Amino acid sequence: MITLTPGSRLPLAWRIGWRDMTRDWRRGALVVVLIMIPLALLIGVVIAGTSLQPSLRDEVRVGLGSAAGKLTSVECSAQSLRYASCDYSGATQPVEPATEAELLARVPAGHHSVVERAVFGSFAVDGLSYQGRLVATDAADPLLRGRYDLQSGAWPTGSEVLVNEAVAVRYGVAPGDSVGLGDREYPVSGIVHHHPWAGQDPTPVVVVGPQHPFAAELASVPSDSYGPVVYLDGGLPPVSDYPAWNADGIGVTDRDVLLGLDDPDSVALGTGGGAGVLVLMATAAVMLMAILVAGSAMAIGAQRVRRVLALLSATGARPRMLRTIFAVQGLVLGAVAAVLAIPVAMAGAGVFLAIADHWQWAQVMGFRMQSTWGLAGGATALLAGTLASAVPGFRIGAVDPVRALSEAHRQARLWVALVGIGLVALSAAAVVVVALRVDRLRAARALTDELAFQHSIAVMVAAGVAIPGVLLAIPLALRGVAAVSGRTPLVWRMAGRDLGRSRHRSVPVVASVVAGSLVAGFAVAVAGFTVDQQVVGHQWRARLDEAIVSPPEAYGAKQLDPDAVLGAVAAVVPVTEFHVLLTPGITGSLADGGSSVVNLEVLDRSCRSLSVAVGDCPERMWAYPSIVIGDVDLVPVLAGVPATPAMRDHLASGGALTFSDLVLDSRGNLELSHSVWPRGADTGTEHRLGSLPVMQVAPNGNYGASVLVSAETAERIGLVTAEQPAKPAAWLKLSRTPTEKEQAQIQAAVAALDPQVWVSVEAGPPVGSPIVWATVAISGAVLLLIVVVITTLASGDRRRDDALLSVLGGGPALRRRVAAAQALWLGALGGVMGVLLAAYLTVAFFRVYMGILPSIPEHLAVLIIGVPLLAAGIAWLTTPGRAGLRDALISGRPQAIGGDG
Amino acid sequence: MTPRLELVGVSRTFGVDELAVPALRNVSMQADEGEFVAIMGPSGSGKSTLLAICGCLDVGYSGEVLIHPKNSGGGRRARSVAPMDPRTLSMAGLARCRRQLVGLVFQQYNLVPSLTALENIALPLELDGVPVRKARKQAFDALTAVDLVGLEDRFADQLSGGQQQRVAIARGIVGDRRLLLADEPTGALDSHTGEEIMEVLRARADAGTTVLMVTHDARHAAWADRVVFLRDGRIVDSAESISDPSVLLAEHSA
Repeated sequence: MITLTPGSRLPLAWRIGWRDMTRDWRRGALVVVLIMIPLALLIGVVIAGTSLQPSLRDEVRVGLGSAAGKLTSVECSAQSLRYASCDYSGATQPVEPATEAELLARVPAGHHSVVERAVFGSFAVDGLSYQGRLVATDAADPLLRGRYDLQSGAWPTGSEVLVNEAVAVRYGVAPGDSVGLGDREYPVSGIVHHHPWAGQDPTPVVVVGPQHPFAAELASVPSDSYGPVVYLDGGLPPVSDYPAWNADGIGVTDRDVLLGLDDPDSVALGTGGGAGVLVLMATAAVMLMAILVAGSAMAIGAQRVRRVLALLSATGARPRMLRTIFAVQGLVLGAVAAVLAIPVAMAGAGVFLAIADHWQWAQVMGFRMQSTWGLAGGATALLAGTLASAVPGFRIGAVDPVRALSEAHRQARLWVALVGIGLVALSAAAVVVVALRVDRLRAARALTDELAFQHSIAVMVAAGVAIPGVLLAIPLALRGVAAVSGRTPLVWRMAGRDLGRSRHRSVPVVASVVAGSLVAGFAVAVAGFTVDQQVVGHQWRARLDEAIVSPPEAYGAKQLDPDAVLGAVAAVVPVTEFHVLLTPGITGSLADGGSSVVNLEVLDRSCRSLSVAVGDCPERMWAYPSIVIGDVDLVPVLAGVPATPAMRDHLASGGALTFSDLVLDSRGNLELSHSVWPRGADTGTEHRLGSLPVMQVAPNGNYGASVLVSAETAERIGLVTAEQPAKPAAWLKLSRTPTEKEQAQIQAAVAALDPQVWVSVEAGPPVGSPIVWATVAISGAVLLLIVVVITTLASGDRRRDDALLSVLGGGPALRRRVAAAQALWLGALGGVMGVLLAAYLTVAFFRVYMGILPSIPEHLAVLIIGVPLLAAGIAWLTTPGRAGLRDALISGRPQAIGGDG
Repeated sequence: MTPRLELVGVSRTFGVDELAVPALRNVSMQADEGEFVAIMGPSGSGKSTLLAICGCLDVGYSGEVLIHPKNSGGGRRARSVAPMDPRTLSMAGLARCRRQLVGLVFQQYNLVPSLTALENIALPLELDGVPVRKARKQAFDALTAVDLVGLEDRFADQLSGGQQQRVAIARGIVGDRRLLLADEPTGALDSHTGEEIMEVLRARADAGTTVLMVTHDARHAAWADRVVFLRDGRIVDSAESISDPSVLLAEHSA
């Protein structure tokens, strides 16, 4: 009786492919993991992204709760149905917004309604003041279910209040605690799940009932943004009546109308074309990496079975049959990867969303796994597996059975044509980049939309050409490595030459490392640039870790006591340096409510240092007083540069030190004048104070004050008078960056001294290098894993050479050194190529879609230097010490390397 | 004549209990300086095992193996005068033995593909820490001895089989090593090339190198000074070089 072994009924190629795969299941598992991980990452990111984006139904739920619709006050005659806000694009007429009473009057008889009133204000927790949304409404009303959902505690009664999760998590508020509104404390009855708008960052919200003592105070505060809203259970007008209602200052939002506009459950990933392109680029890069890395594993495995393939070929098998063997494996492994990737992605995204929701990092609209993404992911995995199998299958047809059967070790031919194509592609990409630069210069920095579109297409094409170009040029790079190694010591010579001459093995390995470095480098570059942008976009009020307390400007306000300020601040965070900055007294409000200002006849009229338009000067730190009266010792404080004798002399001689040329007039002079604008007057009186000789001092970084003059000069030209003496401001350098809580404590401590002073504490942008380093760590770890796995797989191909070295007297240390040297070569070569590509892609993407030339973070050096070094160390540690020797020695058979005696 | 290699009652068994296979049984022989010994016998007779033991590759034997490292001329690189039993050496000592004392030549050449011919020859010296320039000079001398001048910068896949085997022989004798073990050195070569290799080996023996060569080819065995026959792990005959060893081969392979 014939017993059929597993797979016996399959066609021959499928049978061989299946059995080879199941026998070498470790390699198969590795291929599955190499495809699954990047795919799971991508799908997980998509799940998280769509879960954070609101659908139309989400907007309705968050915006309307259970109400059939709402009436709002509007200022224009036409409005957007979706957001009940004004549509300013068309013919809109300003209208008088409806009052709350007018809104309520429109509620049809027999219908229930709830009013919601909100302002943006401050509340206090443990004596510290925070900003947030203050709402007065009956949150417990069933109409608002879905908009306000009780999470813990109870609905409020009497003077109790509710807080939302953002307040609870950020400020540690729980039911039973209290929050301050106005000048009173109110107990917290419960915590609600509430977001003012769908998909927006969680905003702290405090909710009071309509009969709460603070509700009347809320009603008295005019709010341009959060006018009264009336939610009702029905009776809304038809769409055709909307224009008439708009003309009365009333906006209508009808649930049924909204839900009928679009597919209510569809979610658009990202916020526009830029994000979509980024996802596409990430997808392509990730799948390229998966295909190349998995393909490398399969190619290396193919080398081990080349004798079998040679036997099949010698027996008459066609190349197509041989390719089918690998295609079968690719399909099966890709399918397994697809099956595993989706649950892994869902689990990872679920964990992330749960954490984000718990800590209120973002508003999670719900766990969303659209079936199309799942199907697309599965199809991508199948495609990746199939394409990965094409890597070894590419040269199957060229196998020489005679040579393979004799195990003749002959160097693979360098496919000059392919390398040539790769070099041409790289050159073309470089030409495109240079041409774009020339074109941009020629356009004199003013890109038209059409030109920008052309540039974007050109850059994307260049990127699409550069990537395969680099991959095709790898054999040439390896040949260069072999040539360079020729004059190096034995270990490096063997490692480098082996790479260059064993291209069947080293090309897929380097390609894998390039792909991994590309993805890792791109992630690090984007993270680094994003952090840089947050730093660049940060509105600096002062330099990092500085606190500046400015005197009140109201007429008759008491002078600031700098020493008291120092004591108050130092009680929260130690102070390392303290200075008093005197500013001209002739500035601020007059007794009759008018204004008195010192003016600088500035070069750029949109950037007047001491007028209200300080926001037009992006380079100026507005917390600093513009004109400071003092001596040269203040130069390091004001400009961040050391004082010089020349500066001292210039001040003493009656001149002014300036830290920006914006304060000079067209002739380069510093012109000072004083003007008085009585309340209600159309014109003021101005008289010239004088012109001062100027010494310009280049500040270090963003400058602070604009002008420094001596006390004598200030008095001489009338900057200060007996009636208007100089006003002190306090400048403090903190010993460390204060936390958010400490910033609030400093604010509260200084406000306790004088509520009219202005306190600025600069703690820098909210995020910084930890995110970049986290990205570096994750990317570096993934890249290191790829390098180690692939080089370990490839080292199996060197067993014969390792045994020979042992026979000739080379010890384990030599073999380890060779393995480490090869890992170093591979990691460095692939890392440099991949990171350069990543830098190019980063520049291309941000330049085209955001018009910004990104900075390439130095953290990329970790991928180029650190990863290869670590990989070399791991190769050293994992190279067996006795394996080669065991083959020849313990087995006692020289035929491990030759002979058959 | 001064012995270069001595085997006294050497036995080697693989496996244990009922799976034990005796590869060598109480083998005793001696090879003198400059002597060319051919080892013949049917498959499984223990020829390669004998070579592995003599080549410091296998220490699982019983009996005594003595390698005399110092030649009569006083070789500079010999580390000791006393004969050395590989079984008494550590792993590092065995590796040193293979670098400094014994040269190995295989049927499949076994050159390192990423090294040139000259570098392959210099490999044992470089492994031994000899400065590269000095190692290459000595390697060039060995390359000259095997008549391969002009091919020193070629890689293995750029050489013919005969040329590769000459490189392997040169690698085996570089550094003034005086014991050369060749396992079927002509097995992968045509008859004409095989004869050329035998000429090289003969010349090395005449120059004072002790050559032990395993072969199936009686014509090549005729180049040796002495032929040792192995059968079932024992030496069954040892004859001085004869003009037609095929007669003895036929007699002992029946």
